[in-house]
Amino acid sequence: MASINPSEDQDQQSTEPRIVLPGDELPPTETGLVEDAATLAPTIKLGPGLQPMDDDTIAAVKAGVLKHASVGNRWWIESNQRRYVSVAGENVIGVVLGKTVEHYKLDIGTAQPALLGVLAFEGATKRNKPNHNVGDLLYCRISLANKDMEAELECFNPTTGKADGYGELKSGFVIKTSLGLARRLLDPKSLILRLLGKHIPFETAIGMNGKVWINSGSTKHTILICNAIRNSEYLNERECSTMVKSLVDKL
Amino acid sequence: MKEIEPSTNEREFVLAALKDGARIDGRNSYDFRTLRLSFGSDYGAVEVQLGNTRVLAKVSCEVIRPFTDKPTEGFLVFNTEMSPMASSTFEVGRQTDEEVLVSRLIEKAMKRSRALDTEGLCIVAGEKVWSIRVDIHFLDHDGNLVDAACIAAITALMHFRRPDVTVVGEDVTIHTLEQRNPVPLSIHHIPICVTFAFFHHGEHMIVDPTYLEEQIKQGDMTITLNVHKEVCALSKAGGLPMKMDQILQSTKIAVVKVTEITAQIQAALEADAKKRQTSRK
Amino acid sequence: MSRPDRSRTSAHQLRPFFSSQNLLNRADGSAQFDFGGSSVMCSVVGPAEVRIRDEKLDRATIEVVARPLVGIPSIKEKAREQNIRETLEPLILSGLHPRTGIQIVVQTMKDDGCILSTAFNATIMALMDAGIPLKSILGSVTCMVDEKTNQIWLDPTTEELAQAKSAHVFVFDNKSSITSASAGAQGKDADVDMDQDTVGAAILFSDSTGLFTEEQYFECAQICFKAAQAIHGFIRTAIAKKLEKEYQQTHA
Repeated sequence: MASINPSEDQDQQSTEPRIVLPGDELPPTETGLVEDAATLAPTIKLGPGLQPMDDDTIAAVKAGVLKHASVGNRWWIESNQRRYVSVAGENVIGVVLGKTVEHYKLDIGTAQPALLGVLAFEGATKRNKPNHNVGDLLYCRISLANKDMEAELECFNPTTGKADGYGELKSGFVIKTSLGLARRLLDPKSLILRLLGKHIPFETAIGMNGKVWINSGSTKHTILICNAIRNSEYLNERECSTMVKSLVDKL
Repeated sequence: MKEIEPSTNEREFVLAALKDGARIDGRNSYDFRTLRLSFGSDYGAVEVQLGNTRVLAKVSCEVIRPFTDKPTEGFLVFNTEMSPMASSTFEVGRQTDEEVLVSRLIEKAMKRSRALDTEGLCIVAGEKVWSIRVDIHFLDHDGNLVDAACIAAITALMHFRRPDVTVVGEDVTIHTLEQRNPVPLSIHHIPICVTFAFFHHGEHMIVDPTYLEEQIKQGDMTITLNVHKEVCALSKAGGLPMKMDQILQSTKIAVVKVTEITAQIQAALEADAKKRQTSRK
Repeated sequence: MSRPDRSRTSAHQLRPFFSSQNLLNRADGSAQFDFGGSSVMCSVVGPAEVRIRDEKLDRATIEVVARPLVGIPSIKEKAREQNIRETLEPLILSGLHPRTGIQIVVQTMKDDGCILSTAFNATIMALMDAGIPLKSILGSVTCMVDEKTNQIWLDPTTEELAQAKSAHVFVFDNKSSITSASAGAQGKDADVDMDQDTVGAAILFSDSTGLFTEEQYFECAQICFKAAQAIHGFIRTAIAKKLEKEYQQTHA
């Protein structure tokens, strides 16, 4: 599936962002799915926001910006929303709601709570496994996502088997942002995090579910960072730096 | 939908921050959030925003027959049914405990304190009186619904104009807004609610709690006052036991808040009246 | 030729309309839509948890709650809820979110006629804001036939509706390809050009009250269709503006 990674859509930069609304069709001439080219049997990969319709057309189902990567003929729509819908492989922050013999139940902002196996931690065995309580914050990876079932989570990197930063987030504070803002914060070039980092040392964990965890040396710094991140969503670069500067000056 | 409890991290952080004299939105303990009042095109409609909390109040009126034992008294009716728009934890047709408490508080603050002159609503004794209805719509719930709703209700009542009436013998004529200038209601005083939340066994006290702060608080108290420093209602429904002098201290804080809020309401009403006058010319 | 609403010069003129999205912080999506003195706020929550008894195994359960400005919900609101739910159910790709609930709340904020149309437009904006997958968008407009002159008045006020012989509410979808879609319509005082031809008008919802002839009905449909094009164009512009704000950092 198409991943929403700004570094991948290089062939996009020259053109204006193309805004699509639900019901807008993707013309077959553009996707390469032209009927007389059937011998070539081109394939197309549809990402978030695009769906094949009953009449064999491909149409947008969300309002957003149409994106295309020529590698693999991938198309998707970049849109923003608040409600999280689980996608396998994404990192999320969850709150422990309860525990059964086999699973922890976590709220990750989806319709149903997600399940985290009690053994889905680095080096966990039946005799030796971490114990988490209701209310704990955990940074996890979605190992299985399916629209008909609860999402399944794990707290280790499946390629290495190591914790790699997954697991409990101790102290600090967590805020809820839009999914779009969380995605932007995950960009290593993220403006607001860079600006804040110049003034205050802090650690952060960003969940694709719009949960952002912040921890710094003092409560006042953490509060400042949380508010700056929340305020940054609809500001441009200049407004962002003025906002951060005025907040830092007030300290 | 069930309410999701805040995580342990959030709970501990909010409490730790309070110890440092800080709140998560950058406010001081005794600060209200930014209050915004906006009026609709017709009389008696006001939208109140207290930070992210949003409430709409709409006043309407009708002529009805009074109770036989109180033939000269008009009616003041409140509708504070909570809509799932404010929070999906509110269900249609089922009142939560919070909803009942909020409704009771608003009625106590507005009706029992006799803010509105209900005798002045009489048209013909024993026959016809005005019934004033205040519909309060909760649009967005980020804590402290009571204070926001009270500000919305009293501002809407002050903004409202009822049709003028003339009584000749038995005949009652109700003039439309075009025929005659409508008349304002007679308001005795402006009750304003100030809600406090308590943490750390009463050691820390804040005003105007947000939703997260309400989820974490150990106790709360709402004081209803007017600018004349008269206490109209005081509600402390159980929770943390409190010392007498703490209540006195909070009343003193509330007086300051009430003065500020009343001034803001009056300024907003005056600005709206001016706007209406210029647009009519 | 003049109509009671003196702010408008033409019978086929919409009142100034505008909308704003993402107003409420607790809901997953929200929007407010205004037609002159009428205004409706809509909030959307979902795909979210649903009560077990309402759960559907193959699709999302759609619930609509309509709330009046004054008084407690009555038959009128129940009918409005049903109208909105039944029009939107086929538009929402509810199969993508089985065993969940999508709750839509429509709150009348100001009432000066055409509340159902205003509510439809607010709802579609709120659904898009919430990111609920949709087959298409919609645009709704109301018109009426004047009792005395038999004139058709578009987007009538409460005062005008009082002298209506019949009133008609229409909802049209938008089906256009991405390339041909041009956002040219303006939100303010869109006067509907009568010379365009009506092609591919798909009526999603039509509700008429009062006495009217077949010709009158089709004329109303034509007029409303053209006005709905203006609404569609406006929605596109509004969404583009919102996305621009979100994207200003990524472009920089």
